[in-house]
This record gives sequence, C-alpha cells and structure tokens, in this order.
Amino acid sequence: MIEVTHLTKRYGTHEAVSDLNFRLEPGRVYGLLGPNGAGKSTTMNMMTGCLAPTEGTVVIDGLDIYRQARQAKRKIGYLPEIPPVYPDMTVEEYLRFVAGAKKLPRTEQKAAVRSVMERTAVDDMAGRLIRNLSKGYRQRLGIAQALLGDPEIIILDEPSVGLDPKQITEIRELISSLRGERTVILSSHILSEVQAVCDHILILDHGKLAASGTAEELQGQMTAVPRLRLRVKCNEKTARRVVKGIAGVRLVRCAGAADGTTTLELETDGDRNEPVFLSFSQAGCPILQMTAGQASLEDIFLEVTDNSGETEDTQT
Amino acid sequence: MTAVFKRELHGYYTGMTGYIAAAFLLVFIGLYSVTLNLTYGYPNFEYVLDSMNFVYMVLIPMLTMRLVAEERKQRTDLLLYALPLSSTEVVIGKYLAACAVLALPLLVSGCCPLLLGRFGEVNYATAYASLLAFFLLGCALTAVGIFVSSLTENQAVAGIGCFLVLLVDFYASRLAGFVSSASYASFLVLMAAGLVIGLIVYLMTKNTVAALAAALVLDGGMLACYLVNSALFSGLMGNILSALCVFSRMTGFIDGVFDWGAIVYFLSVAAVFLFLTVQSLEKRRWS
Repeated sequence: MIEVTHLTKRYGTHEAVSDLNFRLEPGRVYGLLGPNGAGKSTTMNMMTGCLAPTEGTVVIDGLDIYRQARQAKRKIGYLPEIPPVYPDMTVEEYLRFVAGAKKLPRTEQKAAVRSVMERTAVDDMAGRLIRNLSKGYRQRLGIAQALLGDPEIIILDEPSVGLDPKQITEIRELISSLRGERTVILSSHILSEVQAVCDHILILDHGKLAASGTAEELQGQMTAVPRLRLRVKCNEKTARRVVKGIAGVRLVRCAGAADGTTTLELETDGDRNEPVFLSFSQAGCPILQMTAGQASLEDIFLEVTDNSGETEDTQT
Repeated sequence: MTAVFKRELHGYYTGMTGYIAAAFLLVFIGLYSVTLNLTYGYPNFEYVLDSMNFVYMVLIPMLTMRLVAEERKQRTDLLLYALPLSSTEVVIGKYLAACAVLALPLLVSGCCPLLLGRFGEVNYATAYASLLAFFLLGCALTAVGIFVSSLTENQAVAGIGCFLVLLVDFYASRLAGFVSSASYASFLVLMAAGLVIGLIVYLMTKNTVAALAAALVLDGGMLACYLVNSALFSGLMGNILSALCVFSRMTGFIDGVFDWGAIVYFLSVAAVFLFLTVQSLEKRRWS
C-alpha cells in the first residue's frame, strides 16, 4: 500500500506538485493522467525516492521512502520517463547489473534476468549492445529492469512512449497480467491508454489532484447532463450564433474544420434534438451528423484539466 | 556497491579508456625508465615515478570525467537513485573502479625494479614504497576528479575542469616560492578568500544572512588576528599553497623515507572529496 500525504515540490516560487494526498491499494492498476507539465513525472520521482519532496511524505507499506529508503526501495520497480539504460552494455549485462544492485541472490540472478527478458520480449536482443537498440526495445528494457526482482509496486512513467501499436498491446497485456499480484502505477497523457488498463484513474493538473476514481465513477459524475454532438455544414461563427438562439442548450465545444464543417458539442437540459435540428435547418446549415451521448472520459479529462477545453477537438 | 564497481570496471574495459590509461602510464614509465635507469644508469626506480607524476594531470581527468557527468547526461542517475543503493555506495563503487584501473598498469610496472635488480644494486623498499605512494597520489587525485565530474553533466567540462584544478595544484608548491611573504599580502588574499566563501555560500543556499554571516565571521576573525599579531600572516600564503599541493607529498618517499604523514594526507584528500561527491549527488536529489 502506498500512502502519499501532503506531497509538495517547489522549485523556487513555482509549485510543480502541490499538496497531493492519495492512498493506493495493493493489487490494482492505477493511472496517473494529466497534460504535459502537470507534475506526473515529478510525483513519480518523489514516490520512488529519486527526488526529495519540499513537504509531505511517501510511505510504502509502512516504510518511509526517505527514512527507510533501502527497504522501501526494494519494494519498488521504477521506469523513469527516459529509460535509464547504459549504451555501452548489452541487454543481458545491463539486467545482470540491475539484478546485482537490487541484491538478488547470486544463484537466482540468471533465472530472474531470463524471465524478465522473456516477459518483455527483449530476449532475442540479449547479446546486443543497448547503443544499437531501437527506442521501443530500450523502453521495454526499461520495463524489464523495473520488473526485475518481482517488486510489489511497479511505477512506470509513460510506458508506451516510442512503441508501435503491436508492442503497446503487448505492454498492456503485460500490465494487465500484473493486476492482482502487484500494484502498478502508470502515467500517461493518452487517455485511451489509461482507460484500457487502469482500474483507478488519478487526474493531475497543475500539480494538483483534479479528479480521482474508477472510469465509471468519473463518468458517473458527468452523466447527469446529456450531451449532443453535431457536425454541421457551416462555419464556426454561424454555428455559435445559431446555438445561442436555442433555448435549453449550452455550448461545450465548437471547432471549425477546413472543409467548411463545424463540430459542436452541446449540453442540453433534456431532449432538445428537435429544436436544435429546426434551428440549424432554418439557418440554412445542414446537419451532417448528430449523436446523443454522455460525457466521455475525455470530456472529463479536458474539463478538469483545461479551461480552454472548448476549442479542443475530440478524437475518441 | 559491488554491482556499481563491476559496471564501471566493465565500462572502462569495453570502451577504450581503461586500455588507453594503461598504455599511457606504461609508455611514460618505460620512457623515463629507459632514460633515467638505463641511459643515465641510476638504479632508482623512484626517480622515474618522481619525474613523471605530471602524467596524472592528463590521466586522472581521462579516468574520472565520465564517471558522474555521463550518468546525468544519459539520465541513468535516476536508476541509481531508485535502486536500493545509497549515494555513498554508488560513489565508492565508482571510485574503487577508477582506482582499480589505475592500479593495474602500476602493478605491471612493479616488474621494473626487479628487472633493474638483475643488473645492479636496487633499494627495493624505496622503490616499492614510492610505487605505493605514487598509487595513493593517483587515488587522492581520482577523488578530486570524481568530485569535479559530479558538478556538471558535460564530460568535456568535467575533464577540462579537473585538468585545470590539477594543473594549479601541480604548480602550487612552485607558486608558493613566488608569493610575497609580507604579512599584509597574505592578509589581503585571505580577506578576499573570505568574501569568495561568502559568495559561494550565497550561491549555494540563496540565503543572504548565512552568506553575510560566513563572510563576516571569516573576515572579522582574520582582521582580529591581524590586528593582534600581524606576524602570524607573514609567509602564510606560501605555506597554504604548499600545503595544498598534493603532488609534492611524494618527495619523502623518493628520498627513502616512509612518510606516514603523506599517506594520511593522501587518504584524507580522497575521503574529503568523496564526501563532497556524495553531497553533490544528494544535493541534486534535494534541489
């Protein structure tokens, strides 16, 4: 179990992470989601003892990451943002080094290295110099290093960066296979990734915890308000004007595209499909597409993290 | 610690550094041995070591510049912080690896006195004690190098920085002869040094009060001493400079004295700079 209390990191006057509080239960997969610069990496660096917090504590299974660093760090496997690999070593040498540094018993090192290489599918590169590996292999090697020694907690900072779609699926399967026995915390700015593998989502914004819960819980907070998504053949200005004239709807998002169409998202108080349809047709703007739906996780993400979300385009 | 030691040793010998360092040392030992022992016929291997200790000015930066700077550049320092290793273990592992790379060619050079002994009277005790002193001198300077390397993430900067530090240190005892021995000169230089220390404190802590306090205490103390007894300062600058010269500590061994003071001096220099390196690593985690 990980307990983070009042975690704060200040650089001069700038607060990279401010007063984070959360508790992570064992055996679950947590996703730390946030736009670039939200403080994800800083938080993870503090949780792993790589960076000292200005205030607050991180306690791993009752062990303070600073006071009882050695015991606490044995429980953690960490993949930082940039895979920390030595280019002048081969894959196997590197993993043997990490196994030694993690103080695995000498007799078990070889088997442990073999097993993580197989799990992360880097075993075919075992004798290759890391210098000559592609970004994807380095990334997987970074994950292999984190898994070495079977730590109870695995912290992965943007694990799927630099991987191709097939590898991303493999990594997701790997992470899912750890569910139940290990606590996994991964960070990402890609929502679909977090949605795909995580049991619980923590959304960070400007160093603060903006929202926390399972995907369903987060969606539940928003479903009260029905939404209407439209693609209309007119420019953005006209669309905004038309929407203004309809009672009971609120514009959430509006983006004009180069092909002369505009994508809109409306919040409505009840069923407003007819008045919306009629208003646009009166204005001479044919509706090309209209879907009623609930707020997606992406909407929540944009809403809690960014106030300029209105102009963002949706791609779910 | 063993893991870090092995990894660094591996790094030295998969790249060229370890071999170049060995070749460099052995070539100079060979050259000076040919000149002094064979051509001029001195049976003293210690003269060889004494004449070539300047090679450390190039050799030590070469061995140490990569050690910490490169970890930062490659971002592998995060791995070291996240692994269950203390900064002290990391620094000592790296340091011992550099010392081992230094020790290897020196062990080989241990054959020289034996070879010379076949053709004449050789004082083995002096020769081997000098070799030990030569090695410890190298170890002390390696600690300086590793500290310089921990201050930057650029290998080249670390290498040049280390070279400059060693260069100044190499000439320190010679410079001491040129420094004015007048007490007011030493006094002024030390006052300036007090201000510089204050400035360093300010740059490191951004705390004006602490910096002013440090400068005031140092300069105030010195002013008081100077007013009470200005003779204290006569020749002080020169003495300080020669005390700081690590290279010149070998002289006793060359003259055939097993100088315990010098051994302690070398070990202390190593300990102080390793301590500073650990602090420098820790500082990065805390800033």
